[in-house]
Amino acid sequence: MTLADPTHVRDTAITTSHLSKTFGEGDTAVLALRDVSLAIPKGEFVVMLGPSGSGKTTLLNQIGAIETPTSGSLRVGDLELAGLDDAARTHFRRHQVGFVFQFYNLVPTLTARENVQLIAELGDDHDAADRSEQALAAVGLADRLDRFPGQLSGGEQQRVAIARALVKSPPVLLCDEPTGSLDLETGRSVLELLRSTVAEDDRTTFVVTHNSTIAQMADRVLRLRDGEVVDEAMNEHPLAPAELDW
Amino acid sequence: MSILARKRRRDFLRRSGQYLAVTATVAVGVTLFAASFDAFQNLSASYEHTYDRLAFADLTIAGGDTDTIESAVTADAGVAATHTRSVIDVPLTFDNAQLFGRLVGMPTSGQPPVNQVDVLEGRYLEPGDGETAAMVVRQTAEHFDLAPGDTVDVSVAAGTVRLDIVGVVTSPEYLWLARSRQEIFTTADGFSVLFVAEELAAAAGPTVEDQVVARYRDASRTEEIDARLTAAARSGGSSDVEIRDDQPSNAALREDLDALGKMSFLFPMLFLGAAGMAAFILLSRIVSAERAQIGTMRANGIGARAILRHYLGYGITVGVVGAGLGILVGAGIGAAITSIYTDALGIPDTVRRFYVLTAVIGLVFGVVMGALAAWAPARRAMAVAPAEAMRGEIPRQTSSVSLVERLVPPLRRLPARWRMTLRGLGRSKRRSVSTVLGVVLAIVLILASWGMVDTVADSIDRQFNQIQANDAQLVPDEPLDQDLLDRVAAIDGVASVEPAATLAVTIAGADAYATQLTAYRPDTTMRDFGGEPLPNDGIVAGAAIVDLIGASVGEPVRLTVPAYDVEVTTELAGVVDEPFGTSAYVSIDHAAELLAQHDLGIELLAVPGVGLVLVDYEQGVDRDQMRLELGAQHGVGAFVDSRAVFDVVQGFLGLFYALVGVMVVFGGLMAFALMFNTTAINIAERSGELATLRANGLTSREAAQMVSAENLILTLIGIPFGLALGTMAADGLMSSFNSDLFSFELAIRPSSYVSVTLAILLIAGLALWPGLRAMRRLDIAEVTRERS
Repeated sequence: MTLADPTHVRDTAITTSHLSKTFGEGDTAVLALRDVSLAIPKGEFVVMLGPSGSGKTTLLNQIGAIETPTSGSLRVGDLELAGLDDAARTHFRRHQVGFVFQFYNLVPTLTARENVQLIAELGDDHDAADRSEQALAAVGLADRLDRFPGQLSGGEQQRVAIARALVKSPPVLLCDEPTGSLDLETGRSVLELLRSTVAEDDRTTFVVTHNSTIAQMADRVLRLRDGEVVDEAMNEHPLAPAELDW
Repeated sequence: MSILARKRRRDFLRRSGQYLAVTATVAVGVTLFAASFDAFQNLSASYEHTYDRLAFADLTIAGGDTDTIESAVTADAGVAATHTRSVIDVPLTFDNAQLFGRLVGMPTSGQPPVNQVDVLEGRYLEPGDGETAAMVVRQTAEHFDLAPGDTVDVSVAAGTVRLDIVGVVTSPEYLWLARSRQEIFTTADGFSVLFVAEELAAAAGPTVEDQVVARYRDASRTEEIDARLTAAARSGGSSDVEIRDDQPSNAALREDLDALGKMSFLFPMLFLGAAGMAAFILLSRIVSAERAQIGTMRANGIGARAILRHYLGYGITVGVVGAGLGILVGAGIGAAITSIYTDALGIPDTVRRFYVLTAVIGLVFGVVMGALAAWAPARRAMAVAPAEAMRGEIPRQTSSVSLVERLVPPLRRLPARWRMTLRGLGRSKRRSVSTVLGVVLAIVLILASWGMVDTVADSIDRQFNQIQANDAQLVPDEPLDQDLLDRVAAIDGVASVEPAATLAVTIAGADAYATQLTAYRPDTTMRDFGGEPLPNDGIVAGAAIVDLIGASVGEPVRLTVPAYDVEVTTELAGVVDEPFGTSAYVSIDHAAELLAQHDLGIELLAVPGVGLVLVDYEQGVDRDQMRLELGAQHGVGAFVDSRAVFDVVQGFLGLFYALVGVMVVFGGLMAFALMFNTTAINIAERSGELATLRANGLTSREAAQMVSAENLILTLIGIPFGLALGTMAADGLMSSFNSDLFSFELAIRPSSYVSVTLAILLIAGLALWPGLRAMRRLDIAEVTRERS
């Protein structure tokens, strides 16, 4: 296992250079990220591991332009995210990023189709309805389009959340504990889904998790502790999600 | 402080904005109650204090056999003091200003035992004054800048007498300067009262009225004594018995006071209802959000009742703090209102007290509201199963397509964010209903108040611009003749002139009522009788009279004229609806026919004190100049400017308008507080999904539009209900003031509905602002991190 050379230029999707993030000030300041430098190629499935407070969610949020860095540089493709204002960051997320969270956060008063359509309409809305149906079909919910979240299982709700994140075909997919609320079987199927989007659409996907077993399916594994990347390794033979057991 | 109490204190600080909004609504409600109830009690006490100090009569009997009546009254065990006196209305002249006035006979040996006066300046009458001294009422002295040493000319039967003003006084009978119940509104330069030696008043003219006035021993037995003495008065031949409640000045002051009394409970209830709803919604949300904490506490041994008490404590704390603030502020405002009122009306005594009862009621309002609002959420908290809460499972919500989408299927093709907005209305039915009810309550408060203003303005306009068409009234001090009419008609600026006559009468059907009968030409243009001419064979009466005497159109009624000691029977030929005062009307021809039944001639309608000249001006004349020219005519004893009375009425209503203005502002504040709270809760409940949508590219503006649209729709739903209920409330309120003094017909202008609607929409917009600002500042990372 080798550490990626941060200055190495290839077909990279995400590059960070001495990225740091501090929360609070003075005595209560917390250095959540310390001097992180990475180069992640396009189309990789990256798992970020670490204990609570290690900075993995903070790093995810930096990449997704939900938070702004305190110092350092963060580029996604040719775009430098550090220094963007709120409108620019929202625009970036609208077109470049899809988010999946542990607790789905679907709108309970909208059906599965409508939850996806809500995001699809943010971009080009003239075929939003069709694209929503296709996204849900792609996650295996073609027969659940008009169900409300309360009528879906946890796994199905997470699939809807994934479809919602993917309907705008973002180059980057960010997932924060996507299987944290799911049982083993359901979790595997969700991971299978996530993995397939990388292969089909050359989408760079980040998954944050406590679960080190999931790291076995990744192309690249980043281990964080106390805000630093303490280890970066490549899996030469990533496992299929069905082979995972936790 | 227990840990739970400390938790509650910190929770208040953490959600200070929302708790402040609810507390403020409670405080405003209790303030309104305390201020108006205290003012009501203070003013009642102030009036009573003045009445007690000046021995205000409980009963006034006019006409009949005065000696017999006085004996019967004095002998009654319930009577503490009796007095007889003479009263007559005559023309007066102060410094070239001619007006109608009243001479009230007083003993020169000292104050009478009943109906004394408060000497503000100068002195009381003395035996050495003879019949050349007078005390003038405060209102006249202020208007004409009179002081002891000035003079007044009085037209009596023997001619014009010049009296020296020896004192300026206040009388309990004329705290409000009203000539009669039919003429509640008079101008200081149109009517005055002089207190003169009894001998002077008794000899002043043929229309002098002998009165017996009495004070009772025991106020708690007033009704019983009233009934006994009224019977005695009737036996003695009197038909004009006036109890204190009906005394014109007292009645006018009481009407005002009654309005305050009614509003002191009605409007605060609206506020407390709104505050209760807001507290209920807020606490429901808090219990929902703290389910996991509640479960943990229960699992660790904290009992269900402790949980119940803890969450009840939130509501009760809000209620107590709000009520406490309201009581303090309300007491201050109540005292201020009292002072303003007594100053404005010249009430000699101002009583301002701290009423324990007000504080107790206010506190009870607050505690009950808080406890009721917190009860259901606290019960829900108590019922949280520890295991469920600790698992973090939130009860599954069942959702469906919205009602409006089911009714209008094409709406299902709207963009998803609009469907989200429509379905958001039914997402938390309690919250949506609360928002709608808040809008309804605010509109009811604002429109009921605004409607009262519109109705009163309309009534004033109808009375003074449509019904009463004459610009001025001249009171001759000689028998009215054609020569005076011709001279007045010839003056530049006079459009038309008519003779009229007015007599004090008692009208009786099943019951009797003392009022004024005014005779007009049958084809008169000086007054509108509902678009109909005066009938030739009967009288027309105000609607309130008809109700009071229990008669119907077409039935016979008896008219008693104390001045001529005659009784006649005629037909009630019609009814008119007039906003102010309740009088009866007859054509001069029919009046002459009625007098002829007793061999009395029509000339009695022209004698001084009865005959009148009604004058209508041409457009654009100088009213002051007309007053000078008309008043200077030989034979004119007094001049009454009808327009000036209009101004007096407007002045009387000044305080009323101010109170209504306060209601409108408070109503707006209530709506703001309620909508601010429901918006904040709406956003808090959906922070997770909103943060996720923001993470996926929804702009804060788009998110704000969704939330704003929900609130706007709820506001629009509430508006028609609020307008309808507000109209009904205004109608109910105005009807409650109807009496023989006032008859109000609800008349809300269309523009008022528009203004109220726009005002509520503006308030809704402003109430959204803090919540939307919070949403713009939503920390997506923190919210999504919390959820994870």
